[in-house]
Order: sequence, then C-alpha cells, then structure tokens
Amino acid sequence: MKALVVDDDPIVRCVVRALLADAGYDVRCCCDGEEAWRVQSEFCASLIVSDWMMPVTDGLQLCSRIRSTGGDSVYFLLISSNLGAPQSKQRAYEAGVDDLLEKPVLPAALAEHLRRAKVAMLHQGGEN
Amino acid sequence: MNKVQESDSPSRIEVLDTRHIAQLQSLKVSGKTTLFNELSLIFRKEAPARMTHLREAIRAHDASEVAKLSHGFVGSLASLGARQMQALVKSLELAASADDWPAITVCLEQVEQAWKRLQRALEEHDQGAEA
Repeated sequence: MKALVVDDDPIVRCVVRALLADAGYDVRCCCDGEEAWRVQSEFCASLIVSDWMMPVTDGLQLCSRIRSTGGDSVYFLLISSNLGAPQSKQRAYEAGVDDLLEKPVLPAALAEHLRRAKVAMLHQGGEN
Repeated sequence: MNKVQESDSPSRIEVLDTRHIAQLQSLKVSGKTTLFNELSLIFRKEAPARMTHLREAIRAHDASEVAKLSHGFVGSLASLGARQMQALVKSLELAASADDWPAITVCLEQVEQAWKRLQRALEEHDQGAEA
C-alpha cells in the first residue's frame, strides 16, 4: 500500500507520515501540490493525504488534476483548517475529494480517517 | 481589544498537553525515537524562524501577514501539543485579523513569554527522557 503526504508544514507532514507508516503504508512526502503531482505520476499512491492551502498548487488543484487524468481510484483525504467556511466542503467534494479532516491534525482523529480510507479502498479493490 | 478568555488564561493552560504527548510518545518512528521526539526536533529547528517572521511582520505593521503566519503556527503548535502557546498565538491571529494593533502588541509579549516557557519545557522533557 502506497501513500503520499502533501503539506508545507513539516510538523503536520511528520505526524501524518508516522501514522501512515505505523498503519503499514509505504509513504512518500511532498511540500506542495506541484511536487506531489510529479511524484504521484511515478509513485502511483493509492492514498493521498493533502493539505488544502499550499503554495504553487493547492490541495484542491492537485485533486482535480489527478481526477481529470484518470486517477479515479486514488483515495484523496484533504486536510484543512477552513472546513467551517461556507461552501468549503462542497468545493472539496466537487473537486473529487473523498474525505475531509479538520486541522489541527491530531493522531486519534487521523487514525480514524485512515481506517475509513482503508475500508473504502478495500471495497474498491484498488490498493497499490 | 482581543484578550485570551479568563477560563483560558495562559496560567491555566498546560505548556505541554501531557495526554497528547503520551499519545505521540506511544508511537515509535525508529528505534527508541518516538513521534514526540521527532516533532520536538523539527519544531525546535523550524520555530525560531517562524518567531522571527512574526516579529518582522509586526514590526512592518502588516496585519494580514501576522494573521497568516499565526494561523500556520497554531496548527503546528496544536499538533505538537503546545497548548499554552497555541492559545496565545491563536489570540494573536484573531487580533491581527481584526487589525487590532494594541491587542497585537499585548499578544506578542505573551507569545514571547510562552515561547521561552515552551523551549524550557521541551528541554526539560528531553533531559527527563535521557535520564
């Protein structure tokens, strides 16, 4: 199982990477959406955990790009500190996001979302 | 002026959230290194630059930059479990969003004090772990 972590905050990257590694994923980390796009084209992660607000290419742009180029089986978990804002969730789901996690990223909450992702990916039968 | 609520006053909030840290320590990232050890290391490497940028933005009277920098910093502090400083930087973010410069000045002083306390707490934590 491969997972890609995308966040410009090294603390958040570290937390997400550690929990994914603990859950048995082969993990790679990127600092922004543009780098993630390049890495994903070779790494082909089945799970992407990405921040929304990032420099260069943000999380929503990354998700839309992946969906528009045949990446339908990738499970996309978007993390954001702005999910309470009007239409934020709607915009995220329209871009193809599978699940949303509110910042700050706390281990117990993230672990629960990762369990949910695993179940969805197993049902989809598309684990890499 | 935006102030930290009495019930959330800095003296009533733990510098480090012991329950959260226990969770981070339960996860080994390599050998004896726990997730908390790794986060603490990254934080101590990154945070001085963040504090410098905050001070510079305040000196430049750039409230939107102060709000943006504070917002990002709050997330890191929350993930680390640095509750007291998290609350104070959040107050700074709110003051900056409201363009409330008297409050920003007060908040910065409090953040500077909390920053010193947090550094001490992280050092003490490391020393305790080594003993």
